[in-house]
Amino acid sequence: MSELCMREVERLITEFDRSPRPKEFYDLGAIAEVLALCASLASAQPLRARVSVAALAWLRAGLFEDALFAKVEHLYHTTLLCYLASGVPAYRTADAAHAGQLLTSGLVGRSELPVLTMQIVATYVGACGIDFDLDALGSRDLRLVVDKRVLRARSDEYDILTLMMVAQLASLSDRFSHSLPQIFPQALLVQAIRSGHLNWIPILTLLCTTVYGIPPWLRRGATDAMRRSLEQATELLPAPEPGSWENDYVTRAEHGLRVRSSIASFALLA
Amino acid sequence: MIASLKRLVLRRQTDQAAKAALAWLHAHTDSFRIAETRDEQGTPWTIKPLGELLFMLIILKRHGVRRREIEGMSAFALREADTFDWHELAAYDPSAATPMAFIAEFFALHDRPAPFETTYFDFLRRIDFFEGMDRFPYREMDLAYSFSRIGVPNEQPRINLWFASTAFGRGQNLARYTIDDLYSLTHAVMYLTDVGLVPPHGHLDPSVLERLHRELVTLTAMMLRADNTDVLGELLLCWILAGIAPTPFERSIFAAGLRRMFGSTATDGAVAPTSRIKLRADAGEATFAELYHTTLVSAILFSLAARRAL
Repeated sequence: MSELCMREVERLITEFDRSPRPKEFYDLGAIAEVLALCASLASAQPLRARVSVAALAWLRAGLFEDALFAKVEHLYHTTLLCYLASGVPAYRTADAAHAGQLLTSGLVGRSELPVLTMQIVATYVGACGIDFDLDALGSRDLRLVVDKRVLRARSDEYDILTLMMVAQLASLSDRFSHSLPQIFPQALLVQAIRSGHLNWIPILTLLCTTVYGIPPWLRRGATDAMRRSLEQATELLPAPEPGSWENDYVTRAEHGLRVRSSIASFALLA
Repeated sequence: MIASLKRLVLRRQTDQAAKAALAWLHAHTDSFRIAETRDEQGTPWTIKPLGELLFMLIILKRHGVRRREIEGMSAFALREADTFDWHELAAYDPSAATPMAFIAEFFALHDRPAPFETTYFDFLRRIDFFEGMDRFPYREMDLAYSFSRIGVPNEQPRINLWFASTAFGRGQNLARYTIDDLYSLTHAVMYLTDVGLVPPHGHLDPSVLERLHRELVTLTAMMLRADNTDVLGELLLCWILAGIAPTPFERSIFAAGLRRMFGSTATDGAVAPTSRIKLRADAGEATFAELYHTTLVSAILFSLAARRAL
């Protein structure tokens, strides 16, 4: 699975290098999400390093500035890839200066993004060395926003995205790590195991293992479920189930979400 | 003399356009019914049209606008809202909070109890169930405003707090305003002014007010060149709600905006959001979903503009 993921990532990078198109951009963005959370997992480091180096080249080529200026929806993945680029030793703050100026001068309309996206954008940009304040948004209780989702009568891919974003915030800043949700991530993982949701199980296990916390019994159950699905797998793990495809984010990054989940799976089981 | 005559003619045209828009809405009240969605995705009920109709009725009633069509639509809305299980919707999705609060306000304005158990609604609010979702800043303003209207304490400061995080609050460059950013501004103005019944200078610094005036005018002029009368209508409405005192030049922009809205009115009174839909509406081919929102906005705009000289 590790080799398969590396091949897929390499193919996407080559495609994007040859012709930067939204499809590959969103796929790479989804992959960057999981790699950003794999800093402590040795098995994922070669992939993380490869994507980071590619991201730095795109940043220096001005691709991210074009993406930022073209569409506000590109903002989250762009800043995420910038953040990965900032981990490459050759990265200099000046590499992201132009992209940062677009943001700070109000030339990128980030204001009409959901609040959580705005928080994570500001935090990633800050990690790249660009001063970008959060204003009142920074004081929001993320535990409340996330844990209360457990009371809803349904779950969808946006729940996973929310958990991914909060986990990224927590891994970037102590300010967020003191108020982490626990009920919802674990409840969603139990639900994914019980319903055999092969795409969600590795992602949720990764989130709970690295950020939210996981009791040993749940960890054992999740690991068993992942091993069983990997034994049967001859290709990437399946995409999220159609019932949870409620927003554009999922439909435009379908392949990326398969790679993302597969990466989480081998990174945890290695 | 000629200028004041022109203004008189414009106000008469505006009044007639208000009557036509309200008549179209009244003739289509059945289409505002709550529908069950069958595609198994998203919320299984479509309540948005009814919620938006209620919001228009609330604004017109609070401004003292009285017409036979308004009474008829209000009676319909009271009946329709009474037949739906709002508790089920609330349990399904926390985004139900805002429409439910508006419904409670609408019923209170008609001296009727809310069509759901208010203790249940209060319980969900107290346990922060409605906080369990990520919203746009202006949707947070929606929530805080609707709660403040039904007497939930300490919501007004939240309106101002979230306003600072909107496109306007962050001083976004006007050239980069998206359509969503424009709606964010128009919603913000509605709430900051309590739909035009509270002067905004109570909440905003003079410098922010001055920028609001300037940017509303500029954005309106920009949208005059676009093909989107839905947003244009909301922007023009904001001139009235925010109490903009225009210069003679700015007044000509407002008048041009109103005329543009008249030009988008189909023969049956519906107001089309784009010129393409206008052509289809004139041919009787446009759908209710395409027309209703712009017609609601226009009904408020024309009704208020006919009563207040800008």
